[in-house]
Amino acid sequence: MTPAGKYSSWHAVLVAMPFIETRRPSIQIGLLKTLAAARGFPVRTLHANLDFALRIDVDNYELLCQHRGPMVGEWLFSVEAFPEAAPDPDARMLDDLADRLPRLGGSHQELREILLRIRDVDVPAYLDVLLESFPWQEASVVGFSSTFQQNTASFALARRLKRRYPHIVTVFGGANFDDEMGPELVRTIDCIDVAVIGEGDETFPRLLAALADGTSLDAVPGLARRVDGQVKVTPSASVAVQLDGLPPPDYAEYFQHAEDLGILPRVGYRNVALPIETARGCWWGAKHHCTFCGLNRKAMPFRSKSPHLVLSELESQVKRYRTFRFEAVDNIMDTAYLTKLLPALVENETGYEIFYEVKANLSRAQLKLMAQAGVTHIQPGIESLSSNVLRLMRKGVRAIQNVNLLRWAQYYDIHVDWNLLWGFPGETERDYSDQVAVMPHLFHLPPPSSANRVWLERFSPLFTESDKFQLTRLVPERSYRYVYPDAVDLERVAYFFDYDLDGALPDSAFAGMRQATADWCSAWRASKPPVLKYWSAPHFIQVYDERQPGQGGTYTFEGTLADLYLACSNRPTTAAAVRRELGLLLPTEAIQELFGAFQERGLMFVDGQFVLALALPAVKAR
Amino acid sequence: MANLTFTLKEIEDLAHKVSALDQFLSKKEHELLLAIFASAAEQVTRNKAGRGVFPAPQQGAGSATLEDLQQQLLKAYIPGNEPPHGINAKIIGDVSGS
Repeated sequence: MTPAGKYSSWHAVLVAMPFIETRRPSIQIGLLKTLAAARGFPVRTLHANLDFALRIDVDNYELLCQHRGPMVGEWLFSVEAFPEAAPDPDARMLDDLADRLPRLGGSHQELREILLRIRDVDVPAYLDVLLESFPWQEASVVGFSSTFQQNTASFALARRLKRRYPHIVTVFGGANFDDEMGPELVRTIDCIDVAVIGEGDETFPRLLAALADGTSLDAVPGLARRVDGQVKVTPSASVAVQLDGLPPPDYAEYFQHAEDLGILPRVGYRNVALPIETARGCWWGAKHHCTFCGLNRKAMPFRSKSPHLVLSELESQVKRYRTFRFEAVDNIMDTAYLTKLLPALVENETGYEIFYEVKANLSRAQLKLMAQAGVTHIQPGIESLSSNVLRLMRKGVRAIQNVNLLRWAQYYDIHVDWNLLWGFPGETERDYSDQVAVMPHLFHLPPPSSANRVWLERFSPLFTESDKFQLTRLVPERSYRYVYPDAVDLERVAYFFDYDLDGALPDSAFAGMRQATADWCSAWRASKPPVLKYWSAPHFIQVYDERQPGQGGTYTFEGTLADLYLACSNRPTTAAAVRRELGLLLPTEAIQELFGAFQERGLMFVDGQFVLALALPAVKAR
Repeated sequence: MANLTFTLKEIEDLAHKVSALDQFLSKKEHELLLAIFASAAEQVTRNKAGRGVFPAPQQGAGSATLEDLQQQLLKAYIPGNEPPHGINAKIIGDVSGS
């Protein structure tokens, strides 16, 4: 029972420390607040990342958040987190890893000065102000949610809090405490009293209750803590959290704080993408874990929220926070939503703008439905334009499906975020020379955001099946050693790893990929983006091609050629299927030959026996 | 391809020649041939001159050869940038203000 008032004097504070971006609230602390408040605990959330962003300049802060490479954010707070034990007081990292640092300044010297000023001046001042400007003395528990580069900033604040207010129990959780990482951090970092290992939705309120009631923590599942100098871990809950039991997160304090600081304008309509969680796990990964994906297998079982609850949550969050934009934090959209949630959004004529991660095998009709339902932005996990490389990744799609998704997303004005990856065992130079050759044919489609060698993440099959993938070197990413004291076993704490992998090509093999990607991105920065579009009438089609700026031209096809091209427009198909569909007398081999001729002109994408027209209809919204 | 016109005599002459093949056909082939003629008969119309007319095969129905299509592909491209275009709204009513 949670009688009113039983826990009313037992205050908890949930903190989001740097480095998470400023433009949206933390769903982790927003959700935990709602769950704990429902059990009667007075909970406040503090987006302390905002204060730091303001102090060091919001743009610089966002650059640090988005930077993939050495953990500069973690390094900036390392000295405050581990005063005497910090491994890099002399800032050797800034020289040793100079070529991989974020571009905050012009020259290396300027960058060095900026980062040193942040570390040695801004960070201590920020923590001093943070300690004084919040009523910490009222709190019995202070919780930190930590993902990616939020550890050391959280430790730095926790250390000061413990020193000033010894009664406070510090609780840590989040992805950085998953699996063996949490117990190792508890073992070696004094300012952590308790860590929640795995999903905290049930555990955190139970932990608060146990602490408030003074009962044993041994009965609370999924905790790590020090007992008599040893780390004690209670077994995780046997049943995964079901999402229908999770209420909408509480973001009120985020908006209040961001608007007080001027990071968000105080306006009637708030242009903020609210995080929403409609599913956990990955239904594809549960069957075939993509080799590079760092999602923990324990978190893989797929669960989604019932469509009627999603609809209700979207509506209530819109009305509460006055924004119509949402960002689903799901690893992958539930395919059942294509028949249950999205049609309801269309029927309700809602004006939401929603981001989703999706599998790339969506059809034209599905993308049209998504656009009508307000899914304006997707991340489909394309990763490659080579079917062989995709097979090595265990992606479960072919390159031609990726291209088809890019086409119809572009047609229906759905923004696509995607990347190119390489460096997979078994890949061949041909896999990449083919991609380099085809990329100019795709210039009318949105380019990749980045193109890089695959990062090796904890929990990915490349990591967990390291024998199978013949990793000849596997060590924590280099920057960790400039962040954590010697006492911390980096093998157990790191999420990113440096590695050598037999069977992957050397960097020199990807120069063409880098150049082709740069050319593609450059084409999209032009005042007039590249175009490849067609107009059609029965048995007649004209394709306008201006994928290279200023080099426009028109193809005119009549009769069978027009029919062939149009038959390959909606979805990937084969010569045999087109022959049947059109009732052609031409042999299949002749049709394949014609597809080859279209391909030579960059008008079709051929992937094994599959073929796809590349031009998009010139007339929109069909 | 244009429509194909024919007279009753032309059909009778053709039927006479085809009937000579009948002795070489199996029962199944005989039935198949009759079915083809019956199906074709449904397509026939009569023109003003009283002649029978078979409609021309539709474009795209597979009559083109690979060579034809390859030739068309070779000649399909005309360089030139797309001219700017837009829809001019039609002015309705008196806009003179008088």
